[in-house]
Amino acid sequence: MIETATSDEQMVERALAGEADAFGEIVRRWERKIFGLTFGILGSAEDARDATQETFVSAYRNLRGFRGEAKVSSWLHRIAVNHCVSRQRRAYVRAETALDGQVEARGESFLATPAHASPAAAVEGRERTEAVRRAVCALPLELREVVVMKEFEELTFQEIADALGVPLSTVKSRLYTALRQLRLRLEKHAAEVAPR
Amino acid sequence: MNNGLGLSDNDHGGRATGQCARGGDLLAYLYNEATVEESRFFTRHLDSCAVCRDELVAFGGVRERVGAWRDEVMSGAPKVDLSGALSQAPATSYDPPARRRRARVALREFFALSPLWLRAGTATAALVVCALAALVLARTEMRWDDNGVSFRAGVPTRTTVERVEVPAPDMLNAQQADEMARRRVDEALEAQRVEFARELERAVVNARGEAQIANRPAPLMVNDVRQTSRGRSVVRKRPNSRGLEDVRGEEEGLPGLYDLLREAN
Repeated sequence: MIETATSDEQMVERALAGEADAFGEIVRRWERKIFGLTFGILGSAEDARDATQETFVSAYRNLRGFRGEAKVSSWLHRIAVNHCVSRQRRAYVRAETALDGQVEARGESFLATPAHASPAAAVEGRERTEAVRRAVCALPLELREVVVMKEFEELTFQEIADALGVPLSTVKSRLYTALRQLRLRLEKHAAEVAPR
Repeated sequence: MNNGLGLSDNDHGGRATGQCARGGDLLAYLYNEATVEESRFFTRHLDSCAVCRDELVAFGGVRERVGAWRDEVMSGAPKVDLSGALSQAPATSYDPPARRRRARVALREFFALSPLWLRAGTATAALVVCALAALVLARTEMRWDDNGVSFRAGVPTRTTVERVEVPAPDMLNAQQADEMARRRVDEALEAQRVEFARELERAVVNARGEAQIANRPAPLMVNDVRQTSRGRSVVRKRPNSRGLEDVRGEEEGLPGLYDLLREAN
């Protein structure tokens, strides 16, 4: 974790004191990571963008509710996960099903391959990325959020435990189970696309 | 068969097939969160545990592919624009206008998602309620007789005077009557008891007087007579009754009861 000149907690204090740019600095620091988290959980760029915006709006409106007992990053992650969960509940759609339709509709720009890649390599890379996306999004939510926090956010086990409010051993157990399930799914996909 | 992830076909990733109890150590080692001592210990463990070796390689491949996906996602991450959303005052937990707006939006969303029959039913119910409210406000009287249904608006308000029964102050309820009857019975019994005692006393006095005159033995004292539960008087026998002469000798110094009564009369 990169130490910043002014800590997030100090920025929160400044924002509460009425400094206009203080919260904007927090947003700049964390928007990419929160977007990665929401995208990893929701699997849709549009939903992830909305969830990220809702996360920061909620944080801004409840800034006085932040008591400094946890880190700002943990606090933001918890808000983001809650928004993702409520979004999925509202949708009444399983994540995998929702993602199936969304990726064809609007996932192209995100999963675009570099311009210098050959068409065959581009197709292969897209397929591999799509397989990973499907595998991650097919995980149960409690496993998925741990994987995304670890792989996208690069949080430590303890930070994930703080953000989710679960014991450290639970985080490790969930991540271990998630990796085993991902391994199984990716192995299955590799077997399907392998030349016969 | 090697599938590019370093996974073997006979390992399906389930917990039942080949699992070492050091999964937590494996993760700490995989994500570089183990201490130097833990890493050294786990490295020695890897030499002797094929399951952990296999999983370490496989999980590394999974991480590599998830990382590639992450890089693609994050390379196209949009910038979140919060300028409009954050223009309001911060850190207020109570926001009435926004709450009202949300309720309206929720209601609109509910009707938008409702089927046609539900919308029609709701609209009809709303119209009926409005019509009834209008009829009430206009003081409309509805009559249904042989001529059919008729309405009449502007009916004056009827004032109904209710007759209230106020109990007379001298009337008693059942409990008070029972209490009064019980009290009167007790008073009557007490009066009878007093009267009986007086009569008995009078009889004793008379008997003593007569006995004194006729030099007969002393009559019974009042205490010698007791009443049985049936109301009959019983004479209690005295042990060691003395003779009339002994009594007379003792009473010679005292005024006689008969004399006292005669003086009183």
